[in-house]
Amino acid sequence: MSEKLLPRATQINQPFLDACNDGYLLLQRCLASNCGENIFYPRVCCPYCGGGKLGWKEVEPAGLIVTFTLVHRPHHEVLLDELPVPFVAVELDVGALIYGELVRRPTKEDRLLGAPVRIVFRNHTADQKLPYFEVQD
Amino acid sequence: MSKGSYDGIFIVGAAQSAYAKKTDKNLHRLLWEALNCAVESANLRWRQIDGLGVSSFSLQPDNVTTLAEHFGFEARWLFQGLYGGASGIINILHAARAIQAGDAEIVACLAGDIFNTVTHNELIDGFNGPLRDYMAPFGFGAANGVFALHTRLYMDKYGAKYEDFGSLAVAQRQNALRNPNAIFYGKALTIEDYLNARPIAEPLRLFDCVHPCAGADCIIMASERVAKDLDVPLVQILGGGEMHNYPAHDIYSLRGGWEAFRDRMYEQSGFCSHDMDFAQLYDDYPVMEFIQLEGLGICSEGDAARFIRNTDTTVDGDFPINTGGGQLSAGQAGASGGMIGVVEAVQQLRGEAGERQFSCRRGLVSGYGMVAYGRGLSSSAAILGQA
Repeated sequence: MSEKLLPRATQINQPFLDACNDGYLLLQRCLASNCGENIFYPRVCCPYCGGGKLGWKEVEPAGLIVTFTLVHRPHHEVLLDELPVPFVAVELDVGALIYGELVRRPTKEDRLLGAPVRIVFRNHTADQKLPYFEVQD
Repeated sequence: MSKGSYDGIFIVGAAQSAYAKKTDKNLHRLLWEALNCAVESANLRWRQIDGLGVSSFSLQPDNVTTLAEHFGFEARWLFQGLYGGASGIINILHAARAIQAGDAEIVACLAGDIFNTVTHNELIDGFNGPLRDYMAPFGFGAANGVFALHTRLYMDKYGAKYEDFGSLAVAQRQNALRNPNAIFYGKALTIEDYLNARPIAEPLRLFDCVHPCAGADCIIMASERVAKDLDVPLVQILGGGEMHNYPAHDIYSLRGGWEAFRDRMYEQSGFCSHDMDFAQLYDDYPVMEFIQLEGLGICSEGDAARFIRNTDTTVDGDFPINTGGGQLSAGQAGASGGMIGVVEAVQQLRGEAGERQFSCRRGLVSGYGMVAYGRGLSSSAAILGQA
């Protein structure tokens, strides 16, 4: 494989992907008056209340590392030149879980759990930016 | 009959195909081998089977219906397991309900796959939408990475050490040394080997990860009317359950869903967790075995490391776990990973486990699978006992 995988673009996730390219984080938000949850990954309905009215909302691109791994054996050859891959699960401040890579290898591994991160939008492929994470000191 | 019981249903046969790191056989042939041996172990004839279930990730473009045709069955009940490693046990539980209702009388429950590391990674890449689109684009390390994230959190929350996971892996290898069909048969593993192994996805190292392989497993179930005339040792389902997407919206709860149905399962059986003579756990990763021990009430939440430190889990020990080596030491033949523990439990309860046989009357089997956005979605378990 010569290029990295991308999320398959659909009418559901296209606004999110477009916003990544424009450098901001766009999440779905349930428009039901008694719900209002922020949702990631993009879906056709709200998984909290089942409602079908979802809007898009720009949110603060920041959160905390819930857990992380350093991947020594990646699943694609294209990743072999950047080992180990620091892969993180991040709980956004607005309350949704998102996965991605740290922009640089951690220097203080023991302090990563619970560490605050900000999202930066980086070229994942030539034409598509995706969220990457930068640890805040 | 008590509410929800599986009375009147019997497991009458169980068998495995040869397990191998590589094979030149095709998948249908491996499934046939397991099925043929299981039919023989049940004293049944091929044509008596009127229901078929199969769980396999690599069967497509075929499916359970075309497989029934391939084998020549006129089947009046079919099941295809879509719950990953939870499928094997869910198959036997659903088959039991079908037999109870009279929809089928003799059901073969099959699982099998042919995988190596490369084809297994390809499978995970396309396993389901959320995993494909929001994890696989990054260097997430496939299943190893997904469970490295849980292992890290488990160690941090409950204080489990590498050595705790390692001692379970080493005990399972000791069991595998008595299982000629295990792919690591004859290959001893010490705690030093475990601790010094190369990192795969930190904190996971080589011997925390299963070795993808080729193999198939089969269980045959029958009604009481059929079973009583077979002259084979009978095994009963004393209780069971399944749960999916539990708890919803909480990927890092370090729970898998077993706690949602275990009370009902033990109540069905008339036994409690302390009455179990063994456990055959779904061991894709040691951390999931810890979570199963807690979810199934063998020990309390967060206490699995202490339990493992204080318990000999080999077949010579006080509470044997994964007595054929489990997937970690016998190999993970894809969806067979969800059936390998059932076949091992049945063979132990029938007294047919060869040099690894130990004395037992009843025990737990559990399954887990369908890894999606951040975690496995499906869990299952059953209590099996001598009839």
